[in-house]
Amino acid sequence: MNKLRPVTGRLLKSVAIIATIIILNFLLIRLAPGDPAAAMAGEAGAADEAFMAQLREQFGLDRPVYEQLAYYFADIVRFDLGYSYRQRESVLGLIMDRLPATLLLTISGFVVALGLGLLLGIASAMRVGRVTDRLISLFALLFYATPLFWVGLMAIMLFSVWLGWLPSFGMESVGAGYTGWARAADIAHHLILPAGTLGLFYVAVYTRLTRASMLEVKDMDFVRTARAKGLRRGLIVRRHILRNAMLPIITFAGIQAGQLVGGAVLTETVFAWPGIGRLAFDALLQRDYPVLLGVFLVTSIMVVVFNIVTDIAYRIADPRIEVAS
Amino acid sequence: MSQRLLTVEELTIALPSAGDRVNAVENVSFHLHPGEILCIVGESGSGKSMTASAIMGLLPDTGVTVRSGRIQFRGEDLLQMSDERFRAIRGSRIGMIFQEPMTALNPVMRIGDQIEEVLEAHNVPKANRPERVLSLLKAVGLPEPEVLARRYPFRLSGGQRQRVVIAMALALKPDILIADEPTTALDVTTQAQILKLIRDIQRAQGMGVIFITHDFGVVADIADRVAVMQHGRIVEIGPVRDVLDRPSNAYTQSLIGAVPQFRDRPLALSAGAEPVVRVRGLSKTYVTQGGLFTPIKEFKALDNVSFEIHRGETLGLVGESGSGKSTAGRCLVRLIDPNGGAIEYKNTDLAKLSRPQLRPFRSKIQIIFQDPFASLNPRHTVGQSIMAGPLAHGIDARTARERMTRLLIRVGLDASAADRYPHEFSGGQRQRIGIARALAVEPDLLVADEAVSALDVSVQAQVLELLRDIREEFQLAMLFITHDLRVASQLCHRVLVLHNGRVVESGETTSVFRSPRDSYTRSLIDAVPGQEWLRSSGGDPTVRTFA
Repeated sequence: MNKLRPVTGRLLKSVAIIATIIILNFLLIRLAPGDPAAAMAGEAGAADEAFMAQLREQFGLDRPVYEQLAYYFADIVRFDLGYSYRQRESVLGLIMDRLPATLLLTISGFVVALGLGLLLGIASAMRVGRVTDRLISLFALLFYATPLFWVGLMAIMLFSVWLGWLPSFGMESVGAGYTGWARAADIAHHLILPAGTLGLFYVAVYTRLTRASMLEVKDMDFVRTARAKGLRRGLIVRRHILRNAMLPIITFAGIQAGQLVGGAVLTETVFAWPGIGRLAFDALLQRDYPVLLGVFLVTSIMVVVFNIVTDIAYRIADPRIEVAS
Repeated sequence: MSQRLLTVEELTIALPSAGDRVNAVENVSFHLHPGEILCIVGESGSGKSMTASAIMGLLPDTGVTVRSGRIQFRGEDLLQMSDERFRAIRGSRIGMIFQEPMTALNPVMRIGDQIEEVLEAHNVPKANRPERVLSLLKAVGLPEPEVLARRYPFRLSGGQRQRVVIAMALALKPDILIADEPTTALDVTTQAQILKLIRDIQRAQGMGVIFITHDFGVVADIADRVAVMQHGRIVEIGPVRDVLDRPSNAYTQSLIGAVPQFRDRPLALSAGAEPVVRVRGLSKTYVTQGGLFTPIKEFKALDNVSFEIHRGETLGLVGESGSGKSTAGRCLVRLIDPNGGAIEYKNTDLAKLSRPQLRPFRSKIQIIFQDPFASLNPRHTVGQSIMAGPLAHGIDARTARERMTRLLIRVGLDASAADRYPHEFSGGQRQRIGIARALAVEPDLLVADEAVSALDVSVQAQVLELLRDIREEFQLAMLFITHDLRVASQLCHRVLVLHNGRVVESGETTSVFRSPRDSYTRSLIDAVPGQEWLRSSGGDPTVRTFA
């Protein structure tokens, strides 16, 4: 496929980037004050020199750095991201445990943001200067300027505390023991507030972006050509204006998609959502380095992957890219 | 009297209140017969495009509205029609083509799909469409219709794109074709082909054509009748020979008088013996960066070009787009670094100098660009823009200011212009400012890159006059880059004809244009519109034609 050909080059580059991230990761451990043995000894309470030396030998910390790096690489290739002594569980297990929750939240937020943002943006651009446009723009500005956590807290106040419509924390009702569709409905119920909160900020961004982009394309020559052909308005908007206005939106969606895993720390904290963001936040507070580095690696890989996806999306949306790149 | 296809009666189009005049178009009336080409001529802002947009129902929705009047098409008033009824006529009974073929097509849609849309919008059954698209592409003279239909617009040249737009406009054999400066953005040879295409199809189908242009040469070649517009009004309308040869209106007379013509006698030149600049074997090759799997492509923009220019002399560099003429000009001022060759100025090879070494020479070779709107910093006053050069070359502020004031007056502007911003000036005035800016550093050589191409003919004539005066006064050497042979003939002592980066012919201007040796030069000259008219109207066209 012609469209995918340059992507192979990108793939090779991506592998190199991920390798660099792994090395940086490894060096970060080195940079942390005290070695892992000291950290472990600290966790244990107290330790003498002999115990430390024994720990170092046990974990290979007395070997040369390059050898340790090789081991680290070998482990990662086998998907072994280390072990969290604090949580008494493998890092990969911890991450895999939390990843679905985060992806559920962030992808819902992403879809809400993109879908609603596009709709509002289009509505706004098509009625530019009129009441609808003013209202939408005001709404967008409001949510663009309001801090995410505050929106979250206020939403909890309104929908959970005062109205009692929606649960305010967690992903499922504790001890309800739902299964099947009942469980899915329960999770969806819990999802509304955090996904809505997360999405609102980006709804504002996409609304503004779509509106500006559509207004720019609207006055272009080829839109006039489309009108001269006698096309119906809906078709002009869809095929000519929107398709061209999508390009900057794809760019931004790509950037946002890269943050799907790591970008929800605030929301997860406010709504006690059991996701990666919370995991990383807790690991940071507890100096649980293996977990932190594991999260770092997974989020980096996500960014790289979504950059490639964006590239492909761009190539499909704009046939000129292929030649220019 | 034959049946009228279209009647425009007392059309008045109002501008938004912030405009510099109340109405874009005022009390305009004319009609169009089947099988007739009516040219509407006028300078920018005359309201000619606005009139066309109104007929097509495509007025911009930013406060431009039809205030009064009627546009009758086959007995129905287009202005009173429902949107849906008008939409059904647009693109099927009335087609339109535009000035800018490069931007008139949707960049992310295949050519075939864009043509098919017209058929779709006007209810042609789906099964018949692909075949119709291919036959349309063939009808407008495009090669390999099957391949082309699957292409995206960016793969096509300007001329090819204009053919695609024409194919769309003619898809349903409309009764009326409105062509809004369809060849202005094209090279002369392409222009001649497109004009012939429009004429051929118009004759075959008996269409009525409203052709909008600013070029009287084009008018002479294709019009049956002409309407001349000024400030939103029709000042003169009539059969083409009457208007061109016996214009009754003073404005029409001045417009026709300003049409550049081929000069019949060589320009006198008292050039010094030593050339100001001597260019030898100048070459520029562009290499596109190959990707991991894409091959490296080479494009020779300039191939071994040599010339010299003497003091007081103007050398014309003519050719079509892509011929390398602008590249040559930019290499000369080292905006682009050439790959090979020498630019000798006072025993120094400028092509070999590093950027810091070049700095003292920068002021000696100056350039004026085509687009007077884009080449002045919108946030600097005109005075600042003109003084920036002298100040950068170490001239003290007082002297720089005196010089700036003197130059503003010299190029025909008021000294008070110094404190105003570029947007307050018209295109012609900005080009004068550009000339003052270039002269402020007292150059020996001036490169004018299509410096008058964006201007209306009357303004163009004035700026050419200014350039001519300045050349005499300052004894400037000038490299005048243009695609317009008539303009080149007006101003240049010698010309160099470029084709695909190579010099195909050079020599004294009138002798090159009168008896071109190269077939490419000949085709360029033959493509210049309006030659028959110039010959027949008593003026000596001075050009040998091969018709």
